Amino acid sequence: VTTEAEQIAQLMKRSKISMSVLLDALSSEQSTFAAVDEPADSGLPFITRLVDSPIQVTGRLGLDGVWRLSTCVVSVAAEHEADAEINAADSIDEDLFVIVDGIDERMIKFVIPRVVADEAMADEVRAVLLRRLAASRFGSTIH
Amino acid sequence: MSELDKLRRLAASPELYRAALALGGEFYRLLGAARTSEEIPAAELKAAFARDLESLLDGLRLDSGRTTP
Repeated sequence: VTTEAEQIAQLMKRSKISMSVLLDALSSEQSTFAAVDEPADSGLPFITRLVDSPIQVTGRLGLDGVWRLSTCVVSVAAEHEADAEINAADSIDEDLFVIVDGIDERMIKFVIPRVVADEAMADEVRAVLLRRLAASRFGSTIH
Repeated sequence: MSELDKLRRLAASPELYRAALALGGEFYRLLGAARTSEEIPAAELKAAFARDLESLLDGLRLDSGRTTP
């Protein structure tokens, strides 16, 4: 059985991110986030896991200690499925470092207005997103 | 973020601490870097980290004026 710590270690080893760089990055005051440079083949891949956020963000922590974003996942699960969804999110993803620090909240707040303004988003997805945003503490970020 | 702050951050996150140990010495590199840059509060670290580190910490020159026996 691989523990969460071992998986984190494997991810860091694979991405050549040192613990020192990761600790610095987790404590950084970064509040704006550029897109991941393509091709995105270096750095530590991560995903946010704020249980009360209707979106999750993926990206990479670069070797320079800068967080960059790649995708935003909008959950369209029905409200009654929210608990199951949260439980699923609790499982360890072998390929992604799960951020559990304050930097993830800044990422979510940075991304939400941009996601809401995305004209390519399907109307039904936007409706679910707006409803879930309004019910969350992130609702104020769209006003 | 100072090296000591990084150690404190590790102490607050068991997963990251264990990952640092699993990374073949990352924790000890941080500890070594902290030793050379500032005085390490031994009691704080002993309380924060696992018991298996007590012998290691005991063997280092930590608090001011204290040396390895």
